[in-house]
Amino acid sequence: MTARSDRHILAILTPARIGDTLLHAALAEARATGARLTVVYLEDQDRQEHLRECLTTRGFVGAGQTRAIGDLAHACAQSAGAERLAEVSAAAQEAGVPCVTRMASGRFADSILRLATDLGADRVFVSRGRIGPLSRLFGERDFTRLRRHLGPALQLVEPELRDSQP
Amino acid sequence: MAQPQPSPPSVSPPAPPAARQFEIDRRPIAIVLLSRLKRQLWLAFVVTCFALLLRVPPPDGLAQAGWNTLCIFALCGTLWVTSLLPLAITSLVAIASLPLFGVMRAEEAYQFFGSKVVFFVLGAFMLSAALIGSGLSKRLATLTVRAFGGTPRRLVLAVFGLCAVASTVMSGHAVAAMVFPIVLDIARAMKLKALRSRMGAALFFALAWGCIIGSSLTVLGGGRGPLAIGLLEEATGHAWTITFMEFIAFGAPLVVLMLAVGAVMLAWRFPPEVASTADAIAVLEGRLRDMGKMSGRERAVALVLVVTIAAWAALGDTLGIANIAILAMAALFALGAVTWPEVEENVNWGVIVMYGGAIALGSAMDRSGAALWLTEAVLGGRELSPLVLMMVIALLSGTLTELMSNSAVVAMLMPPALTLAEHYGLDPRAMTMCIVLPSGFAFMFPISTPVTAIAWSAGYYTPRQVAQSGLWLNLIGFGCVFLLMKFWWPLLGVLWAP
Repeated sequence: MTARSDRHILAILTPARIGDTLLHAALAEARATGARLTVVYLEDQDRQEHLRECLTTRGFVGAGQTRAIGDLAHACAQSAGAERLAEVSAAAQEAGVPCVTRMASGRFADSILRLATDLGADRVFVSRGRIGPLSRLFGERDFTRLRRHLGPALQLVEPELRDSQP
Repeated sequence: MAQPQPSPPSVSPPAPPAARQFEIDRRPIAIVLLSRLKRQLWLAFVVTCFALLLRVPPPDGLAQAGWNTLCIFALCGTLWVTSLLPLAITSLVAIASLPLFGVMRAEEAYQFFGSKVVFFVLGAFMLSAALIGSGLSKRLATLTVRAFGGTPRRLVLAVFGLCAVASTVMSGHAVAAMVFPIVLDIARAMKLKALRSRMGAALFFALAWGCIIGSSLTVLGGGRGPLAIGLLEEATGHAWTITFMEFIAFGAPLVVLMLAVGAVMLAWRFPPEVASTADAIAVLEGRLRDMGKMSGRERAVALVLVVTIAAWAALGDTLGIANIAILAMAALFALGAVTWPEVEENVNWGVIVMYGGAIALGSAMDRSGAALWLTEAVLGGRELSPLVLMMVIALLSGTLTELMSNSAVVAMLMPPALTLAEHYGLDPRAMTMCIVLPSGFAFMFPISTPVTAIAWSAGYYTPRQVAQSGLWLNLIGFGCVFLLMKFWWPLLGVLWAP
């Protein structure tokens, strides 16, 4: 096993299935370099806002119901995140990688940049399978921003069927 | 070599709000401004185009008032599609623009808020609020799912059937919001994992599809039906309407076929991986125990609901569906079955504003000759077969509804489509139904409609799954609409105007 280094890897998990691939890659690198790993489950605030906007502007759902649905969706994301992070902890322990897990919620790119700065991450693993091929059209701005701020520290993980690196 | 000791993994609660941090945006100032003011810039662009169009002289065969109406229609259509402004605000813009640009007098424009359709929708939404506020809807939903959910497959079908049936008497959106916590409890009790459980996906797809399909059966299923009827009545000078029972008769075979297709799709694409529903049934029984016995308030709501629906069905033509709706509202308050705060919480008043403006704009399109000019310009002298024409309009309606509110689709397509119906000698009721029915088919995107957005928010399926299943349902839905036009409506005497 590699000796522990000062390197710090940040892995951002989202509800997407590509999270498994991302975690595998982050664990492998942490193990190979002896880096510490922090896995953050990110609840995308934009998704909540899309939901609220859809309920109130597309279908005229009442304010009370909109609030209730928003709260339930948030609770769903939190419980899915907690479940996922428990699996991550078990996998990290099995791989012998020091790992801290936590939940966060906020805008996708903002949150990742803030976490990377706060934690002083040397490497940031982010997946790009969130909305499939549509991400090329609509999610690209976030990734451009991440690339600009994080530079080579950013490691994009994408589904194998598509090209591996932009 | 020292072995790294894994630190104890921890799942921390959401962190408290951190001290405000600033990020220096190093992009050129022009890019920063463009990205921050994108919405306002688009709005300015749309309004500038509108202003430039107004300055263009009207084309041959169209008066200045007609041209102005067409420009307002283009402006509102763009705003409805792009959602640069909320739908209701766009409708207000429409209603204020009509007198401002000399299309109709202010008194005429604003009187459309008094349309009976607006009051019918208000009554239906208040009835829905009473059902939710009293807890009756939740009790009935829980009882139904418990009674029929003996096996995993039957549980999925119970949710599907419940949502479909409930959406015939309440707005599909309200049903989805009401059933969502119940399905969520079931999924949690059965320990179904988000994105990994086929059973979980099946339950939430059943919720969404049941609401979408069921809400097409009656005018109570959503606002689009009443809005279309209001536009039909205004455009034909109240010579034509669609009664409560006629609406059901026109769409019933479609709903039955789509329910069958939906049930097969659920079984085919999401075969349950669990063997028992015992945990779910236990949760539902716990919910019922917590609810206790049926309260007097729930009984009162049930009574008003049954009497109102019977009156809409039997006396809607003579008493008027809006009058019945208003009497039902009064009865609910008189019996103490609903309170004003509950109504405020469960009714989105934007719907009233949206419908008033949409009906005013539709009427102006018809009166000013703008709708006729538009259809002639689009057809360009070509004569299509009436069936092909109606299918094209149905396809347009079903496609647009994936991208925008179904009420907005109805508001945009109805005025020119009714003019086309007149041109082709088609029964305007057939044209109305071939817009209204597909306008509900928002199966393909997770946020096409509140119903799909609510189901998707649970996180049990991916957008890709929605698109794949939704595409099939949309295609089959269009096929069913074609069958209705070809075989069912002629049987009812609804294809050609007498």
